Amino acid sequence: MSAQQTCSAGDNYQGNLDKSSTSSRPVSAVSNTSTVLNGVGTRLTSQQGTKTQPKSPGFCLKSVQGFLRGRSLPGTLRMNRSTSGGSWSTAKNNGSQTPAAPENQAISPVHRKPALDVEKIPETPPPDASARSCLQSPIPTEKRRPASSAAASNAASPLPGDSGDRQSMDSRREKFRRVLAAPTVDLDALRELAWNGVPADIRPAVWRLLLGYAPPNQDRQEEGLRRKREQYAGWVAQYFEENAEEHILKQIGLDVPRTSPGVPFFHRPELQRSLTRILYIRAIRNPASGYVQGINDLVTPFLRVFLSEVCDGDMDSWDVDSLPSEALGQVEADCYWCLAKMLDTIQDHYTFAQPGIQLSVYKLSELVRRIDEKIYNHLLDNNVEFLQFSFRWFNCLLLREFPFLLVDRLWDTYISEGDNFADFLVYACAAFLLTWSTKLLNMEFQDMIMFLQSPPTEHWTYDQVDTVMSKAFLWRAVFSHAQSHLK
Amino acid sequence: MGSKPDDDYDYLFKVVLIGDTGVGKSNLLSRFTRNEFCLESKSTIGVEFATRSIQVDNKTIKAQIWDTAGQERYRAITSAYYRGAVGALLVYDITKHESYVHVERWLKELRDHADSNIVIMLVGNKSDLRHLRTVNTEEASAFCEKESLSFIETSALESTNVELAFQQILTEIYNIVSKRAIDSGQDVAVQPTPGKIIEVKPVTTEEKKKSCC
Repeated sequence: MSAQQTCSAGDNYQGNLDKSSTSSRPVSAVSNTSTVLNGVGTRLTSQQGTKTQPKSPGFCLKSVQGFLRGRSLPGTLRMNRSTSGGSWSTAKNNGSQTPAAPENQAISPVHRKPALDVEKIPETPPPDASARSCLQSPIPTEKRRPASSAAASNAASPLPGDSGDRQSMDSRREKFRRVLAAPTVDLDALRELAWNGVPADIRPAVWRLLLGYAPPNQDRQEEGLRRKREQYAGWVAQYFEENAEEHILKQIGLDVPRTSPGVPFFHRPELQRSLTRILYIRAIRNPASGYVQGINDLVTPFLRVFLSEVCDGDMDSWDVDSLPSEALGQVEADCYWCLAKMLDTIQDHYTFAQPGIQLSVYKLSELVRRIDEKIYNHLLDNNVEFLQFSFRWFNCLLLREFPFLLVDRLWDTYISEGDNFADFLVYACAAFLLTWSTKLLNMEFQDMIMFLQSPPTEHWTYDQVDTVMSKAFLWRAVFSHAQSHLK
Repeated sequence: MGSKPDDDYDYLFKVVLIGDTGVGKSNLLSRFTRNEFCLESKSTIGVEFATRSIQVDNKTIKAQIWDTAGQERYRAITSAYYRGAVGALLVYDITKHESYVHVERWLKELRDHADSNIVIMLVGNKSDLRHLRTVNTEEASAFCEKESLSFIETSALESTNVELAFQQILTEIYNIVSKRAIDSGQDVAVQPTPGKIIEVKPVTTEEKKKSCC
């Protein structure tokens, strides 16, 4: 295992983001894309400004527009919905990608443990260096160099020339194409490639395969998917359309309208109905966990990625309501199955008392103690408990801590982790926490809690996600050989 | 978040916000601490934290407020935050009768997990939605009288009574704490160590020597 190999995760496919999209964090409640109206007596007159919080499951935002229109409201009023003409690009365009990393053919990201020689693993970048790299101003995707990432990326970056970029991008894409074209897809090879990020246009197919939803055998794929989609439709008819359980629906109905408030297409009525059904069927099929708040967030990357197959143009302009019902039904079924497969590996995150999360929080604290005792003691001395800030990280798989447009990249790695995902997430959370260690060391209890509740990732790009993933990868390599501290 | 020192207060009180999901707990908190109202806020996962200091009796009281997730599944996690809390705002939605019915259940939660002397205030939120009201004020008020709870109706949207609700509960806690300090001959203005929570003990009974925390 060389430094290059270990660090390759920091240097990979970027999917697509336009400049403005990389610099906003549309999903945050305190997002800088929010419309903020200040001061007492603010008058809400625009359509955009007349929406209010959901009040009941069947509550329609529009129904209160009239109610709020022209009213004076005190203080600051935040609306996370983007204004028209938003700038998020879709996942569908195959825009620029940064150069591909040298492939690590010897070690699959998932099965790398036995191959590791701990002695050869380089020092992880010092926390302050990584913090610096993560806090730098966003770099337009087109111009972005892997070198802007942590030291990890440098080691793996090929020549920075544009032709080099394109070449390695093409060669990487070619590798995906070759793996996907085989009569039976080699899932291990695909996993290894996908860990570092998947080109946006083939992401839906790759996710379906890696999650075990689409059969790897090409001949059976179509039939296999058709059957699964039918099965889902059958469940909708059986559980949802007849005798739906009110108390589950009520909770879901409260959360669906407040899912990804910054992303317009999630608020189209048809999509909200789809999301409701996905969550309901998932809850009914998994009575041990049922519906837990936050699972609604976890569907959003799937919806975005699978909708990109049937919607054209900018994500902001997706007219989900006009999609043929068959197309939307297919997207819905795919989202359901992929969500279900992903959650299968972390089932106990959502069962009574959420033991999976409690264990993960404990593992995180022990891991941080091992990696960076200084920050661990600092947290301890200030009475900051890991549960206080990391519960949501584990519950929503860090989704809420990243800008929405970067989450698909996060999901690429998660999905590639397969059965090791729960374990990897602990390392990912440690890497995320320690990104801020320099800052945290200068803070006291209150400031730390507030900071970790909404870490400033709104200007993050794929580079920073890669850095976090790389660090997680490194630390697992270093610490997984001695896991007694995590037991 | 500021560079303001953490210790420029006379008292530090930990308060929890509890109640059914979707009743507006997070917006009550953001209204009180930042004078903000978010029309489409995401659901709270686990707990969220905010603080604000107010003046009572020429003393600076800093409230450390923990906003908890309302869903049943989170109860095991959120109840851990009751420990050391000296006040609880139990919130329901005046347009959702069920959230009012569940108040009893929440009180039991507090009895089971919080200090027995915690000061509780029942808060009927969303009072701006007059036309949708399903819980009448008198009924809730009578219930609070019976249970010896404070009661107030608020609107986080219109910022009605939000300040007052927090002022009242913090003053009530302050009165208990300062009275106890006088009773025990302490200097009322004693500065607590930063990060330490002042526990509320009954003014009259002396039997409980050990606190919950």
